[in-house]
Amino acid sequence: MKEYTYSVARVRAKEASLLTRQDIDQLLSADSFETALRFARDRGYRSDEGASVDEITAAAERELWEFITEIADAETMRVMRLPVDYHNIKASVKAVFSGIDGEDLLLDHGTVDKNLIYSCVKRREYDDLDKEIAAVCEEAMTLILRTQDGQACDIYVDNAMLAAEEKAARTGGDEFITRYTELLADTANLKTAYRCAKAGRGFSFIENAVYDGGTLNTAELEKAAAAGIDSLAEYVGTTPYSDLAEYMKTSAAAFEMHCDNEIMRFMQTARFDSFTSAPLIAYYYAKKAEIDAVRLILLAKLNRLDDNMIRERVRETYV
Amino acid sequence: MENLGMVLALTGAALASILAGIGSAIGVGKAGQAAAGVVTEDPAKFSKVLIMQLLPGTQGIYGLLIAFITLSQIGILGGSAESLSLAKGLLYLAACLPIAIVGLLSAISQGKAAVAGIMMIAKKPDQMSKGMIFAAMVETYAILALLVSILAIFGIAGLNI
Repeated sequence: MKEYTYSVARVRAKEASLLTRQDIDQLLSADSFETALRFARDRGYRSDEGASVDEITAAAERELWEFITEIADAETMRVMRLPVDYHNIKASVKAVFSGIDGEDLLLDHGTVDKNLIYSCVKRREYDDLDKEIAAVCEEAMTLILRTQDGQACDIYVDNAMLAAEEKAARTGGDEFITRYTELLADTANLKTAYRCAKAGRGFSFIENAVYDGGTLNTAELEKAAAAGIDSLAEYVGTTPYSDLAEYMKTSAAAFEMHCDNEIMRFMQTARFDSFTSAPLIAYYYAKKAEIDAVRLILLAKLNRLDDNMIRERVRETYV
Repeated sequence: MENLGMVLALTGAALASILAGIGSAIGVGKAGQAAAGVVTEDPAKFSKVLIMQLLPGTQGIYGLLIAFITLSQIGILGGSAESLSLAKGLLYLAACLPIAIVGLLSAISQGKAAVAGIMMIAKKPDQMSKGMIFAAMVETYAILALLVSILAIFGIAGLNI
Protein backbone atom coordinates (compact mmCIF):
# COMPACT_ATOMS: atom_id res chain seq x y z
CA MET A 1 0.00 0.00 0.00
CA LYS A 2 1.24 3.46 -0.89
CA GLU A 3 2.27 5.54 2.11
CA TYR A 4 1.71 9.27 2.42
CA THR A 5 3.72 10.02 5.58
CA TYR A 6 5.40 13.17 4.21
CA SER A 7 2.14 14.56 2.82
CA VAL A 8 0.17 13.75 5.97
CA ALA A 9 2.79 15.56 8.07
CA ARG A 10 2.40 18.64 5.87
CA VAL A 11 -1.36 18.39 6.24
CA ARG A 12 -1.06 18.12 10.03
CA ALA A 13 1.04 21.27 10.09
CA LYS A 14 -1.57 23.03 7.96
CA GLU A 15 -4.45 21.77 10.07
CA ALA A 16 -3.18 23.88 12.94
CA SER A 17 -4.32 26.95 11.01
CA LEU A 18 -7.80 25.67 10.07
CA LEU A 19 -10.60 27.68 11.64
CA THR A 20 -12.13 26.10 14.73
CA ARG A 21 -15.77 26.30 15.77
CA GLN A 22 -14.82 29.19 18.10
CA ASP A 23 -13.24 31.07 15.19
CA ILE A 24 -16.38 30.61 13.11
CA ASP A 25 -18.52 31.80 16.04
CA GLN A 26 -16.29 34.84 16.44
CA LEU A 27 -16.63 35.57 12.73
CA LEU A 28 -20.39 35.16 13.06
CA SER A 29 -20.61 37.55 15.96
CA ALA A 30 -18.64 40.29 14.20
CA ASP A 31 -20.67 43.48 14.40
CA SER A 32 -19.90 44.59 10.85
CA PHE A 33 -18.61 43.35 7.52
CA GLU A 34 -15.33 45.23 8.09
CA THR A 35 -14.73 43.54 11.46
CA ALA A 36 -15.49 40.13 9.94
CA LEU A 37 -13.18 40.85 7.02
CA ARG A 38 -10.37 41.91 9.35
CA PHE A 39 -10.78 38.71 11.36
CA ALA A 40 -10.74 36.59 8.20
CA ARG A 41 -7.59 38.40 7.03
CA ASP A 42 -5.88 37.74 10.36
CA ARG A 43 -6.70 34.06 10.00
CA GLY A 44 -5.09 33.61 6.60
CA TYR A 45 -7.64 34.93 4.11
CA ARG A 46 -5.20 37.41 2.68
CA SER A 47 -6.20 39.60 -0.19
CA ASP A 48 -5.51 42.94 -1.78
CA GLU A 49 -7.12 45.97 -0.25
CA GLY A 50 -10.63 46.38 -1.65
CA ALA A 51 -10.90 42.81 -2.95
CA SER A 52 -14.43 41.41 -3.18
CA VAL A 53 -15.60 38.40 -1.15
CA ASP A 54 -15.48 36.31 -4.32
CA GLU A 55 -11.88 37.33 -4.96
CA ILE A 56 -10.88 36.58 -1.38
CA THR A 57 -12.38 33.08 -1.40
CA ALA A 58 -11.15 32.39 -4.96
CA ALA A 59 -7.62 33.21 -3.78
CA ALA A 60 -8.04 30.82 -0.84
CA GLU A 61 -9.24 28.08 -3.18
CA ARG A 62 -6.32 28.64 -5.50
CA GLU A 63 -3.94 28.36 -2.59
CA LEU A 64 -5.67 25.15 -1.45
CA TRP A 65 -5.29 23.57 -4.89
CA GLU A 66 -1.64 24.60 -5.10
CA PHE A 67 -1.05 22.86 -1.78
CA ILE A 68 -3.03 19.76 -2.76
CA THR A 69 -1.18 19.47 -6.08
CA GLU A 70 2.10 19.48 -4.16
CA ILE A 71 1.16 16.75 -1.71
CA ALA A 72 -1.09 14.38 -3.66
CA ASP A 73 -1.00 12.89 -7.14
CA ALA A 74 -3.95 13.40 -9.46
CA GLU A 75 -5.18 9.84 -9.02
CA THR A 76 -5.46 10.17 -5.23
CA MET A 77 -7.57 13.30 -5.56
CA ARG A 78 -9.61 12.03 -8.51
CA VAL A 79 -12.85 11.73 -6.54
CA MET A 80 -12.45 15.29 -5.25
CA ARG A 81 -11.78 16.60 -8.78
CA LEU A 82 -14.75 14.91 -10.46
CA PRO A 83 -17.36 17.42 -9.14
CA VAL A 84 -15.44 20.16 -10.98
CA ASP A 85 -15.78 18.27 -14.29
CA TYR A 86 -19.49 17.78 -13.79
CA HIS A 87 -19.98 21.40 -12.81
CA ASN A 88 -18.19 22.36 -16.03
CA ILE A 89 -20.45 20.03 -18.04
CA LYS A 90 -23.57 21.62 -16.53
CA ALA A 91 -22.25 25.15 -17.06
CA SER A 92 -21.19 24.42 -20.65
CA VAL A 93 -24.45 22.73 -21.62
CA LYS A 94 -26.57 25.49 -20.14
CA ALA A 95 -24.43 28.28 -21.59
CA VAL A 96 -24.53 26.74 -25.06
CA PHE A 97 -28.26 26.10 -24.75
CA SER A 98 -28.96 29.70 -23.69
CA GLY A 99 -26.54 31.09 -26.26
CA ILE A 100 -24.41 32.93 -23.72
CA ASP A 101 -20.65 32.93 -23.26
CA GLY A 102 -20.04 30.36 -20.51
CA GLU A 103 -16.28 30.56 -20.12
CA ASP A 104 -16.46 32.60 -16.92
CA LEU A 105 -18.68 29.99 -15.32
CA LEU A 106 -16.12 27.20 -15.64
CA LEU A 107 -13.94 25.99 -12.76
CA ASP A 108 -10.31 24.86 -12.71
CA HIS A 109 -8.78 21.69 -11.27
CA GLY A 110 -11.09 19.09 -12.77
CA THR A 111 -9.75 15.85 -14.23
CA VAL A 112 -10.41 17.25 -17.72
CA ASP A 113 -9.41 20.68 -19.00
CA LYS A 114 -12.40 23.02 -18.56
CA ASN A 115 -11.99 24.61 -21.99
CA LEU A 116 -11.93 21.22 -23.69
CA ILE A 117 -15.32 20.36 -22.18
CA TYR A 118 -16.71 23.73 -23.19
CA SER A 119 -15.42 23.64 -26.74
CA CYS A 120 -16.61 20.03 -27.25
CA VAL A 121 -20.09 20.89 -26.00
CA LYS A 122 -20.12 24.00 -28.16
CA ARG A 123 -19.13 22.04 -31.27
CA ARG A 124 -21.31 19.05 -30.28
CA GLU A 125 -18.32 16.87 -31.06
CA TYR A 126 -17.22 14.83 -28.12
CA ASP A 127 -14.47 12.65 -29.58
CA ASP A 128 -11.67 14.51 -27.76
CA LEU A 129 -13.20 13.73 -24.36
CA ASP A 130 -12.88 10.42 -22.60
CA LYS A 131 -15.78 8.05 -23.19
CA GLU A 132 -17.65 8.57 -19.91
CA ILE A 133 -17.50 12.37 -19.88
CA ALA A 134 -18.36 12.46 -23.60
CA ALA A 135 -21.46 10.31 -23.05
CA VAL A 136 -22.65 12.56 -20.19
CA CYS A 137 -22.08 15.75 -22.24
CA GLU A 138 -23.96 14.33 -25.20
CA GLU A 139 -26.87 13.05 -23.15
CA ALA A 140 -27.13 16.29 -21.13
CA MET A 141 -27.18 18.36 -24.31
CA THR A 142 -29.80 16.11 -25.93
CA LEU A 143 -31.88 16.21 -22.76
CA ILE A 144 -31.90 19.99 -22.43
CA LEU A 145 -32.69 20.47 -26.13
CA ARG A 146 -35.51 17.95 -25.99
CA THR A 147 -37.10 18.99 -22.69
CA GLN A 148 -35.95 22.66 -22.45
CA ASP A 149 -35.72 21.82 -18.74
CA GLY A 150 -32.59 22.91 -16.87
CA GLN A 151 -33.58 20.98 -13.77
CA ALA A 152 -33.89 17.69 -15.67
CA CYS A 153 -30.41 18.29 -17.04
CA ASP A 154 -29.06 19.03 -13.53
CA ILE A 155 -30.60 15.85 -12.15
CA TYR A 156 -29.10 13.77 -14.93
CA VAL A 157 -25.60 15.29 -14.61
CA ASP A 158 -25.62 15.12 -10.78
CA ASN A 159 -26.57 11.46 -10.84
CA ALA A 160 -23.92 10.76 -13.48
CA MET A 161 -21.40 12.46 -11.18
CA LEU A 162 -22.34 10.29 -8.21
CA ALA A 163 -21.99 7.21 -10.42
CA ALA A 164 -18.58 8.40 -11.67
CA GLU A 165 -17.42 9.02 -8.10
CA GLU A 166 -18.51 5.58 -6.94
CA LYS A 167 -16.82 4.00 -9.94
CA ALA A 168 -13.58 5.94 -9.36
CA ALA A 169 -13.59 4.91 -5.70
CA ARG A 170 -14.16 1.25 -6.57
CA THR A 171 -11.35 1.34 -9.14
CA GLY A 172 -8.96 2.98 -6.66
CA GLY A 173 -9.89 0.40 -4.01
CA ASP A 174 -9.33 2.81 -1.11
CA GLU A 175 -11.69 2.07 1.77
CA PHE A 176 -11.88 5.67 3.02
CA ILE A 177 -12.71 7.09 -0.40
CA THR A 178 -15.25 4.32 -1.06
CA ARG A 179 -17.04 5.10 2.19
CA TYR A 180 -16.91 8.80 1.36
CA THR A 181 -18.59 8.26 -2.01
CA GLU A 182 -21.24 6.08 -0.37
CA LEU A 183 -21.94 8.87 2.11
CA LEU A 184 -22.06 11.41 -0.72
CA ALA A 185 -24.58 9.28 -2.60
CA ASP A 186 -26.70 8.62 0.49
CA THR A 187 -26.81 12.24 1.66
CA ALA A 188 -27.52 13.42 -1.90
CA ASN A 189 -30.41 10.96 -2.08
CA LEU A 190 -31.73 12.04 1.32
CA LYS A 191 -31.62 15.70 0.28
CA THR A 192 -33.32 14.95 -3.04
CA ALA A 193 -36.02 12.86 -1.36
CA TYR A 194 -36.55 15.58 1.24
CA ARG A 195 -36.88 18.35 -1.32
CA CYS A 196 -39.22 16.26 -3.47
CA ALA A 197 -41.38 15.34 -0.47
CA LYS A 198 -41.51 18.96 0.62
CA ALA A 199 -42.51 20.10 -2.87
CA GLY A 200 -45.11 17.31 -3.13
CA ARG A 201 -43.54 15.71 -6.20
CA GLY A 202 -45.01 12.54 -7.67
CA PHE A 203 -43.42 9.10 -7.58
CA SER A 204 -42.20 9.10 -11.18
CA PHE A 205 -40.35 12.41 -10.72
CA ILE A 206 -38.76 11.19 -7.49
CA GLU A 207 -37.82 7.86 -9.07
CA ASN A 208 -35.96 9.73 -11.78
CA ALA A 209 -34.33 12.22 -9.41
CA VAL A 210 -33.01 9.78 -6.81
CA TYR A 211 -29.60 8.29 -7.67
CA ASP A 212 -29.66 4.54 -7.93
CA GLY A 213 -26.64 3.82 -5.73
CA GLY A 214 -25.21 4.30 -2.24
CA THR A 215 -26.18 2.09 0.67
CA LEU A 216 -29.84 3.08 1.08
CA ASN A 217 -32.70 1.07 -0.35
CA THR A 218 -33.67 3.61 -3.01
CA ALA A 219 -36.98 1.95 -3.91
CA GLU A 220 -38.15 2.31 -0.27
CA LEU A 221 -36.79 5.86 -0.11
CA GLU A 222 -38.64 6.88 -3.28
CA LYS A 223 -41.91 5.35 -2.06
CA ALA A 224 -41.58 7.07 1.33
CA ALA A 225 -40.75 10.45 -0.24
CA ALA A 226 -43.77 10.22 -2.56
CA ALA A 227 -46.01 9.69 0.48
CA GLY A 228 -44.81 12.90 2.17
CA ILE A 229 -42.39 14.22 4.80
CA ASP A 230 -43.83 12.17 7.68
CA SER A 231 -43.46 8.84 5.95
CA LEU A 232 -39.99 9.86 4.70
CA ALA A 233 -38.92 10.71 8.25
CA GLU A 234 -40.31 7.37 9.39
CA TYR A 235 -38.31 5.52 6.73
CA VAL A 236 -35.11 7.47 7.46
CA GLY A 237 -35.60 6.52 11.12
CA THR A 238 -35.06 2.87 10.17
CA THR A 239 -31.79 3.56 8.30
CA PRO A 240 -28.27 4.25 9.66
CA TYR A 241 -29.13 7.93 9.19
CA SER A 242 -31.92 7.84 11.77
CA ASP A 243 -30.40 10.89 13.57
CA LEU A 244 -31.31 12.99 10.55
CA ALA A 245 -35.02 12.13 10.70
CA GLU A 246 -35.79 14.66 13.43
CA TYR A 247 -34.27 17.52 11.44
CA MET A 248 -36.68 16.85 8.58
CA LYS A 249 -39.34 18.50 10.66
CA THR A 250 -37.31 21.69 11.24
CA SER A 251 -36.16 23.56 8.16
CA ALA A 252 -34.68 22.58 4.79
CA ALA A 253 -31.48 24.50 5.58
CA ALA A 254 -31.07 22.75 8.94
CA PHE A 255 -31.68 19.32 7.42
CA GLU A 256 -29.16 19.85 4.63
CA MET A 257 -26.64 21.19 7.14
CA HIS A 258 -26.96 18.04 9.22
CA CYS A 259 -26.56 15.88 6.11
CA ASP A 260 -23.26 17.65 5.39
CA ASN A 261 -22.22 17.37 9.04
CA GLU A 262 -22.64 13.61 8.68
CA ILE A 263 -19.91 13.67 6.00
CA MET A 264 -17.73 15.98 8.09
CA ARG A 265 -17.98 13.63 11.07
CA PHE A 266 -16.80 10.83 8.82
CA MET A 267 -13.91 13.02 7.64
CA GLN A 268 -12.94 13.63 11.26
CA THR A 269 -12.06 9.92 11.59
CA ALA A 270 -9.00 10.68 9.42
CA ARG A 271 -7.55 12.89 12.14
CA PHE A 272 -5.87 9.91 13.80
CA ASP A 273 -4.34 8.42 10.69
CA SER A 274 -0.69 9.08 9.87
CA PHE A 275 0.11 6.97 6.83
CA THR A 276 -2.77 6.77 4.31
CA SER A 277 -4.28 9.26 1.89
CA ALA A 278 -7.36 9.76 4.10
CA PRO A 279 -6.01 12.86 5.92
CA LEU A 280 -5.26 14.49 2.56
CA ILE A 281 -8.81 13.94 1.34
CA ALA A 282 -10.18 15.08 4.69
CA TYR A 283 -8.03 18.21 4.73
CA TYR A 284 -9.18 19.16 1.25
CA TYR A 285 -12.81 18.59 2.24
CA ALA A 286 -12.38 20.52 5.51
CA LYS A 287 -10.61 23.49 3.96
CA LYS A 288 -13.16 23.65 1.14
CA ALA A 289 -15.98 23.62 3.70
CA GLU A 290 -14.18 26.33 5.67
CA ILE A 291 -13.82 28.53 2.60
CA ASP A 292 -17.55 28.05 1.87
CA ALA A 293 -18.42 29.00 5.45
CA VAL A 294 -16.21 32.11 5.39
CA ARG A 295 -17.73 33.12 2.06
CA LEU A 296 -21.26 32.61 3.39
CA ILE A 297 -20.60 34.61 6.55
CA LEU A 298 -18.81 37.46 4.79
CA LEU A 299 -21.56 37.76 2.18
CA ALA A 300 -24.21 37.67 4.90
CA LYS A 301 -22.39 40.37 6.85
CA LEU A 302 -22.03 42.45 3.71
CA ASN A 303 -25.76 42.19 3.02
CA ARG A 304 -26.68 42.57 6.72
CA LEU A 305 -28.58 39.29 6.87
CA ASP A 306 -29.95 37.93 10.11
CA ASP A 307 -27.37 36.03 12.22
CA ASN A 308 -29.72 33.16 12.97
CA MET A 309 -30.26 32.54 9.30
CA ILE A 310 -26.51 32.17 8.80
CA ARG A 311 -26.06 30.01 11.89
CA GLU A 312 -28.54 27.54 10.45
CA ARG A 313 -26.32 27.17 7.41
CA VAL A 314 -22.82 27.06 8.88
CA ARG A 315 -21.54 23.48 8.95
CA GLU A 316 -19.51 21.66 11.58
CA THR A 317 -15.76 22.26 11.39
CA TYR A 318 -13.01 19.65 11.03
CA VAL A 319 -10.88 20.72 14.00
CA MET B 1 34.02 -28.19 9.02
CA GLU B 2 36.01 -27.82 12.22
CA ASN B 3 35.47 -24.05 12.13
CA LEU B 4 31.68 -24.31 11.94
CA GLY B 5 31.40 -22.95 15.49
CA MET B 6 33.21 -19.80 14.48
CA VAL B 7 31.01 -19.45 11.36
CA LEU B 8 27.85 -19.71 13.47
CA ALA B 9 29.06 -17.17 16.02
CA LEU B 10 29.97 -14.73 13.29
CA THR B 11 26.55 -15.27 11.68
CA GLY B 12 25.00 -14.26 15.00
CA ALA B 13 27.04 -11.07 15.17
CA ALA B 14 26.17 -10.29 11.57
CA LEU B 15 22.46 -10.89 12.18
CA ALA B 16 22.47 -8.58 15.21
CA SER B 17 23.88 -5.70 13.22
CA ILE B 18 21.96 -6.47 10.01
CA LEU B 19 18.44 -6.94 11.41
CA ALA B 20 18.59 -4.25 14.09
CA GLY B 21 20.18 -1.93 11.51
CA ILE B 22 17.42 -2.61 8.97
CA GLY B 23 14.78 -1.92 11.62
CA SER B 24 16.37 1.37 12.61
CA ALA B 25 16.83 2.41 9.00
CA ILE B 26 13.12 1.81 8.31
CA GLY B 27 12.04 3.55 11.53
CA VAL B 28 14.29 6.57 11.08
CA GLY B 29 13.30 6.72 7.41
CA LYS B 30 9.57 6.83 8.14
CA ALA B 31 10.07 9.42 10.87
CA GLY B 32 12.29 11.38 8.49
CA GLN B 33 9.51 11.61 5.94
CA ALA B 34 7.12 12.96 8.53
CA ALA B 35 9.78 15.34 9.89
CA ALA B 36 10.46 16.69 6.38
CA GLY B 37 6.73 17.26 5.91
CA VAL B 38 6.46 19.29 9.10
CA VAL B 39 9.64 21.29 8.38
CA THR B 40 8.36 22.08 4.85
CA GLU B 41 5.45 23.93 6.43
CA ASP B 42 7.23 25.22 9.52
CA PRO B 43 11.06 25.26 9.43
CA ALA B 44 11.18 26.49 13.04
CA LYS B 45 10.18 23.00 14.24
CA PHE B 46 13.38 21.40 12.87
CA SER B 47 15.09 20.74 16.20
CA LYS B 48 11.95 19.35 17.80
CA VAL B 49 11.18 16.88 15.04
CA LEU B 50 14.85 15.89 14.67
CA ILE B 51 14.91 14.51 18.20
CA MET B 52 11.80 12.46 17.43
CA GLN B 53 13.33 11.20 14.22
CA LEU B 54 16.41 9.89 16.03
CA LEU B 55 14.50 7.77 18.56
CA PRO B 56 14.13 4.66 16.35
CA GLY B 57 17.87 4.82 15.60
CA THR B 58 18.96 3.27 18.91
CA GLN B 59 18.17 -0.33 17.94
CA GLY B 60 20.82 -0.17 15.23
CA ILE B 61 23.34 0.94 17.86
CA TYR B 62 22.31 -1.92 20.16
CA GLY B 63 22.80 -4.37 17.28
CA LEU B 64 26.24 -2.92 16.63
CA LEU B 65 27.15 -3.20 20.32
CA ILE B 66 26.15 -6.88 20.44
CA ALA B 67 28.05 -7.56 17.22
CA PHE B 68 31.18 -5.90 18.70
CA ILE B 69 31.01 -7.83 21.95
CA THR B 70 30.49 -11.12 20.11
CA LEU B 71 33.37 -10.41 17.73
CA SER B 72 35.72 -9.59 20.59
CA GLN B 73 34.58 -12.64 22.63
CA ILE B 74 35.30 -15.03 19.76
CA GLY B 75 38.60 -13.31 19.05
CA ILE B 76 37.88 -11.99 15.58
CA LEU B 77 38.39 -8.50 16.96
CA GLY B 78 41.87 -8.36 18.44
CA GLY B 79 43.21 -11.13 16.23
CA SER B 80 43.22 -13.92 18.82
CA ALA B 81 40.69 -16.12 17.06
CA GLU B 82 40.91 -19.74 18.04
CA SER B 83 38.70 -22.57 16.93
CA LEU B 84 35.29 -22.51 18.56
CA SER B 85 33.27 -25.62 19.38
CA LEU B 86 30.05 -26.14 17.42
CA ALA B 87 27.99 -25.89 20.60
CA LYS B 88 29.60 -22.59 21.61
CA GLY B 89 29.14 -21.19 18.12
CA LEU B 90 25.44 -22.09 18.22
CA LEU B 91 25.13 -20.53 21.67
CA TYR B 92 26.62 -17.25 20.42
CA LEU B 93 24.23 -17.33 17.49
CA ALA B 94 21.28 -17.86 19.85
CA ALA B 95 22.53 -15.10 22.16
CA CYS B 96 22.54 -12.61 19.29
CA LEU B 97 18.96 -13.38 18.22
CA PRO B 98 17.05 -11.35 20.86
CA ILE B 99 18.48 -8.00 19.80
CA ALA B 100 18.44 -9.01 16.13
CA ILE B 101 14.74 -9.85 16.02
CA VAL B 102 13.39 -7.48 18.67
CA GLY B 103 15.63 -4.74 17.30
CA LEU B 104 14.15 -5.16 13.82
CA LEU B 105 10.51 -5.14 14.87
CA SER B 106 10.71 -2.61 17.70
CA ALA B 107 12.53 -0.06 15.54
CA ILE B 108 9.80 -0.26 12.90
CA SER B 109 7.10 0.11 15.54
CA GLN B 110 8.97 2.92 17.22
CA GLY B 111 9.25 4.60 13.83
CA LYS B 112 5.46 4.58 13.54
CA ALA B 113 5.06 5.99 17.06
CA ALA B 114 7.65 8.67 16.21
CA VAL B 115 5.70 9.58 13.05
CA ALA B 116 2.56 10.04 15.13
CA GLY B 117 4.58 12.09 17.66
CA ILE B 118 5.99 14.29 14.90
CA MET B 119 2.47 14.94 13.64
CA MET B 120 1.46 15.81 17.18
CA ILE B 121 4.31 18.35 17.29
CA ALA B 122 3.02 19.80 14.00
CA LYS B 123 -0.31 20.60 15.63
CA LYS B 124 0.65 21.05 19.29
CA PRO B 125 4.36 21.88 19.63
CA ASP B 126 4.02 22.38 23.39
CA GLN B 127 3.12 18.69 23.80
CA MET B 128 6.44 17.48 22.42
CA SER B 129 7.62 15.75 25.61
CA LYS B 130 4.49 13.58 25.65
CA GLY B 131 5.11 12.55 22.06
CA MET B 132 8.64 11.57 23.00
CA ILE B 133 7.44 9.48 25.93
CA PHE B 134 5.01 7.56 23.71
CA ALA B 135 7.75 6.70 21.24
CA ALA B 136 10.29 6.00 23.99
CA MET B 137 7.94 3.39 25.54
CA VAL B 138 8.76 1.10 22.62
CA GLU B 139 12.44 1.40 23.54
CA THR B 140 11.81 -0.65 26.70
CA TYR B 141 11.54 -3.85 24.71
CA ALA B 142 14.66 -3.20 22.68
CA ILE B 143 16.57 -2.60 25.94
CA LEU B 144 15.22 -5.84 27.45
CA ALA B 145 16.38 -7.76 24.38
CA LEU B 146 19.77 -6.02 24.51
CA LEU B 147 20.13 -7.01 28.15
CA VAL B 148 19.35 -10.68 27.44
CA SER B 149 21.81 -10.74 24.54
CA ILE B 150 24.61 -9.16 26.63
CA LEU B 151 24.07 -11.43 29.63
CA ALA B 152 23.98 -14.49 27.40
CA ILE B 153 27.16 -13.59 25.48
CA PHE B 154 29.18 -12.93 28.62
CA GLY B 155 27.79 -16.12 30.16
CA ILE B 156 28.83 -18.27 27.22
CA ALA B 157 32.51 -17.29 27.58
CA GLY B 158 32.76 -19.04 30.93
CA LEU B 159 31.14 -22.27 29.75
CA ASN B 160 33.44 -25.18 29.24
CA ILE B 161 31.87 -26.91 26.24
